Amino acid sequence: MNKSEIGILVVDDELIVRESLSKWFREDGFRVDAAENAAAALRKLQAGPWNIMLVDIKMPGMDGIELLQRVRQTNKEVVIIVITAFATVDTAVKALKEGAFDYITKPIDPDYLDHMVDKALQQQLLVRENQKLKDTVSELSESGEIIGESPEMKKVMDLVHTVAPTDTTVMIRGESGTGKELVARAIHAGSPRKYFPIVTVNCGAMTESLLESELFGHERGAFTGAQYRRKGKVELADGGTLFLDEVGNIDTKTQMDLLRVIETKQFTRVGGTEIIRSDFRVVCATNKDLEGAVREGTFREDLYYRLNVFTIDLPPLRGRRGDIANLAHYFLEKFSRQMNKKVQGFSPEAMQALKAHDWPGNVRELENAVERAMVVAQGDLIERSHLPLHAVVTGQRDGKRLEDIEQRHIEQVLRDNAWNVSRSAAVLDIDRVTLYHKIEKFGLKREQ
Amino acid sequence: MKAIHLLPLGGPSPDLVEALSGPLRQTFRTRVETHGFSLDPERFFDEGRSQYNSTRILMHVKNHYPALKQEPGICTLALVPFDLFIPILTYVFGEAEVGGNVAVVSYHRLAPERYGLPPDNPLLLDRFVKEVVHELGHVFSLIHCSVQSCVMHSSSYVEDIDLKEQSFCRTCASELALRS
Repeated sequence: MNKSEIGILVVDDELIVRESLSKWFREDGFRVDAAENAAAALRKLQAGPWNIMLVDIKMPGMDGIELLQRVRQTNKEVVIIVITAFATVDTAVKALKEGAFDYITKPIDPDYLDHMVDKALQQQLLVRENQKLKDTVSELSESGEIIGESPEMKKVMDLVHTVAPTDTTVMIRGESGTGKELVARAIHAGSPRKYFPIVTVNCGAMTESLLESELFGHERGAFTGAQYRRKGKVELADGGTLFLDEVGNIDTKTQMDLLRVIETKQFTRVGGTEIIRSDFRVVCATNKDLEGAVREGTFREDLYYRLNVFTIDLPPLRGRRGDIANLAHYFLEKFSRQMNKKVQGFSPEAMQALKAHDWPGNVRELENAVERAMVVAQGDLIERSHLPLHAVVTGQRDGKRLEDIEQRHIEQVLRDNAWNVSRSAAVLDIDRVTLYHKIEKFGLKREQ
Repeated sequence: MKAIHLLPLGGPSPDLVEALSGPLRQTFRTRVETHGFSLDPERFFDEGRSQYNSTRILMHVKNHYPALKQEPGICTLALVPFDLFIPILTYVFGEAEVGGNVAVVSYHRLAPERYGLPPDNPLLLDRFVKEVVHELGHVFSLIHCSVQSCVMHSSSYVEDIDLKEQSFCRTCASELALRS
């Protein structure tokens, strides 16, 4: 880690101590700030990330030990070294018991100070690495099973097994709720990159500038509110997999930046000049007609070809009805464990209803339906009445649902504005991304 | 590059000061001059610690050395024989105003005889040159370097000083060229 990325906060009521320690650490290249009392330290701690706090024990008002206790209630990560003028066994033991990393006595031997800071940073690095490994292990163990015995799903699994060990870019296509993220995680888990993180970016949920900052990070002061340097998802995915969900919703400027970073594996943070390298594999997902978007000029052709190297098409649930029973039982077992309920299975009527349903929300909808049924079920079996499938099973829509009205209204506004999305969004008083989501959700298409 | 004014204060030997000029001229490729400046060391003495406060010496030179006002482009280096400290640390070899125009360096802790060894003037001079170049590096806004052999590597003990060279590593040298 670059020393300028490491923050040290000096907390001491004596100006001379604050100044001399700050200067000492600045000469070492650290990012340093100082606080004259505990209250100021808590404010600074809240405002930004700090790696190390050097805290004087004796301060007017809240003393160093109390500050240590307060910090530890909310922040387990920052390493705290206490400074004391007269070291007694009592104060040292108390500080260590409250979670201090170590203590030093004034005046400090400069070699000892450097050594302690090095030791503290190494310890923090180990703790972080350990946490990262734990997260990766739990991510791998919870990455979810892909359920499906149908020929369609067997084909999908064959493709996953074929492509996972390679470094090829993968595009996963399928309707909302078909399990695209699950497939992305399976690809990551089967790759040599599995011990590094898989970092997901939901490209559809962000505005242009937010997405740019999310992807590439930003420097301190890059824009209003950017108080500290922040790493982007591309940087965090170093060594692992970058999963770009809803990639079809990226704006044209970010498409260009993304193309460049995929090609060069180099980028700069927003507001920065330093070139950062990151070695990542790209897996992306979309439920959009990307070819159509390329034809319309809303999606860059070069990026499309860069992403569309190996495609996996996920079938909708209605296209693999043979898997519905297996999936339903899988979710039943999952929620039985989670809710600690002993529901054994589905009544024949309930299973028939599940198999007959069209599942426009696909596996996610099925999962939600089973979860809801588990909540209301009282006996050993899930009955037909426990399943929230009425409206869609019967296929009768009276057009009075709020969603139907919303759909009709959006369609009307789009028609009135000749399908100009920006203008229509302005009339509807929503942003363009939201309108795109609604168009997709309701499957609205421009009349030719 | 700023001209360097050496101010021997409190009695360092003229030979030692003179011997510094060559390496400094070579490293910083600038004019190196030795000037007189009067300073009463007792004003900076801390009885409790039996040491001299380096920050106060630094500020005194900054505020009272007339050439700093007359020639704003120069940087000034006070050379002292006293044991220096800053209040939070037990001792310092020197102190500089990072990105400023003054520094102070002591050779008190650099002499081998302080550690029970026979006097060794070439070794003392070598250490002194390294510490002087190091503090001047700070004056030119350089920070500590992780390269062990670079003169900007942080040293808390004389043994650390002996491990590094009198020159800057390639990165620090280009940083220095940019900043000067």
